[in-house]
Amino acid sequence: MTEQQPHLGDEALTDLALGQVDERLRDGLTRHLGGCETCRSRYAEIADAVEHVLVAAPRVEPPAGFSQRVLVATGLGGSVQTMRPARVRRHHGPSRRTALLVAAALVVGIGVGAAGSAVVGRGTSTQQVAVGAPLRTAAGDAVGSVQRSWSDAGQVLVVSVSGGRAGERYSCWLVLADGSRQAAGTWALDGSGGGSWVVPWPPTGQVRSVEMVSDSGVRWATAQV
Amino acid sequence: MQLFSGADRTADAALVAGLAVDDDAAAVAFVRRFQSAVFGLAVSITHDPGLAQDVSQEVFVRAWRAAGTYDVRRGSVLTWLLTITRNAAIDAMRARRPMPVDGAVLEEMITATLQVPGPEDEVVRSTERDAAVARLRALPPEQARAVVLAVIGGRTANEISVSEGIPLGTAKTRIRTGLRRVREAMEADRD
Ligand SMILES: [Zn+2]
Repeated sequence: MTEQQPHLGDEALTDLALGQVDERLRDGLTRHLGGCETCRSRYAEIADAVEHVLVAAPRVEPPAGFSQRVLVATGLGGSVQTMRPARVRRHHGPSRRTALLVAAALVVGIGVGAAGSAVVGRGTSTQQVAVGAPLRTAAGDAVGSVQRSWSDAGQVLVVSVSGGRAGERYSCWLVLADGSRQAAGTWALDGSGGGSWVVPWPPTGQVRSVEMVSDSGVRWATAQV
Repeated sequence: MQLFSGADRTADAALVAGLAVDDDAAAVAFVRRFQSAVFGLAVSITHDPGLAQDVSQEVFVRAWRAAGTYDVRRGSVLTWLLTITRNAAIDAMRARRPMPVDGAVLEEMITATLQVPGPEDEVVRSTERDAAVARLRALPPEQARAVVLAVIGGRTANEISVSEGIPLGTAKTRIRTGLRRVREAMEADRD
């Protein structure tokens, strides 16, 4: 196995991090990295420095209309929405389009909700796409989703509601493996009955399920994480 | 309960999460936030605004497709996008017939990277960029030049040895040593 081979030199690792290795050599190097923790961590350090330097690149505004061109190229146009059937589950895992949109919503800085959860975006239509664990009512209706994710603050849950009543307020509860419950915040749904929130993963214990409870104390919907 | 310290962090988290929000205006905001960084790097590598625009568009399309595989533990959205940009721009240059790059153009790129941003740049300033520029400026000038040419200019060690008029081994050493020092400075600041 690769453990027997000599470690990679800084020169080879730097070339690799800069993408200056031709394909045949690259396969050998990456194979070694795959089996060698020592070289992998040295490589990560160099790649880290490269990434850091990249940020220093001069900023230049592209020609006007660039963002619209990107939208067209990604298939994000005004007309696309109306062509999509309601509540479709996508075939390829998490929706990449909406991931970008959610990030965008955050960049816009929509605000921080109660109890330390950030409001990440607002559903604007009934065409929400279910990803992650479905959030279902007792009657079995899917009204949103809960997805596990990461931020540099650690693991998080992204709770997304799309099929609620406009303006309705809900408390979000995390049910841990030991049966204990933790409040994650109280949120009001937006005008279309939707909303998305990022909830930090509790420092203790495994989250088993997420519950949305109405102001009157009735459990409205549950997701098994 | 822990508060997120800023929009960037939550953006990073949510980018991975891939959940459903339909809002084209928000997508436009995302592109606008990062477009000058992406386009700026694409220009630095291609020296061709038309090609740089194609590359930048491709970057956002790739980012959109790969958002599900993005790992926030590895870095910010900005560095992730710029890594995609660098690869895409270098690929685009390789697909073309090789053309020598004017030394004056490279010089301009190095100067634009290393100059201290003035107050007029306030609008496009980012603390993340300021920190990176400061670390490059702290290097011996010849190492800073080599690192900028290799990373931000996408030039090979061979090309750098020619444009700087130095032996290939020297070019490689400058790049390597410069990058190592950047890394050490990053670690020193972390402690
Ligand atoms: Zn090794």
